Amino acid sequence: MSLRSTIDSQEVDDLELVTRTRAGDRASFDELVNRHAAKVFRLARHITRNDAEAEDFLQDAFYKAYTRLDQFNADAQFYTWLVRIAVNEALMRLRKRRNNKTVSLDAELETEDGSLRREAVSPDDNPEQEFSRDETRKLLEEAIDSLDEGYRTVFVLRDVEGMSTQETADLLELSISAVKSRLLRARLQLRDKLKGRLHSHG
Amino acid sequence: MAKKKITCQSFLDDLSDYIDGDVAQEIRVTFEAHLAKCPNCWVVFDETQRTVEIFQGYDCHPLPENVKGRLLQTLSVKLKNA
Ligand SMILES: [Zn+2]
Repeated sequence: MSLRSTIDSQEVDDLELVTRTRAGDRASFDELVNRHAAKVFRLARHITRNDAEAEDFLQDAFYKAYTRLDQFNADAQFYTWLVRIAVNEALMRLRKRRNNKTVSLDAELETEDGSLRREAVSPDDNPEQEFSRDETRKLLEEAIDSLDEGYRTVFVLRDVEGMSTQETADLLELSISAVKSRLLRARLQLRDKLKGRLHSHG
Repeated sequence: MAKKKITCQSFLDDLSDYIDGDVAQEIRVTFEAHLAKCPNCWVVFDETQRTVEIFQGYDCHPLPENVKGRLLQTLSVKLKNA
């Protein structure tokens, strides 16, 4: 595998690599894989919550991307297009797997019933003072895993992948207001979860 | 524009947008005024903002090296027949 010798990875942009791949240059596609595999894996792992499934799905997403490369529109970012394929793939798998239980995710956020904890904590307690980076990362991963799917996917696309509200809404086929309300709930739930975990050692 | 009365509920409804810097200037000013006198909302805001920042500062689920190797391997086999 002598990718580095054929492609100087910083000098060629994704679009050029797509063009070269279409012209039959497989090494250019390998370079696209190299660039984006980590992000697609993370996304898949967040959505599926399972390492093996995420890996399986990572292979499918790139395979599909390759076989549909002629549908890629050069005005779009390759990564955004790839994420769209990846997310659709992951959601399809989830839907197959789960037994149609539906929860109301978009109801009004209650503030009076005590579900929203508001107790003050010391303003300068910092999780990174007590936990190593790896331990903190594990806590964060578990916290995301514990969210309901509808909140998890929105949170991952918005706050982990850095997509816009509009992009997230398009991708998940949700309204803007549903994306916003789910994001808020996800953030508030994560805040509660982390607080409980990170304080248990204090 | 009429000055809208800010309640804890209306602040909370827009908390995400506020954290993301995605509210209009005149609303931002009224929220800041509310935060200055409402410790409850300030705590929720501060902790939620820090939660988001923590997540944005970590790369969760780093790609295992062997996964990448297997991916390139599998693709090279599958794409030969594609
Ligand atoms: Zn308030």
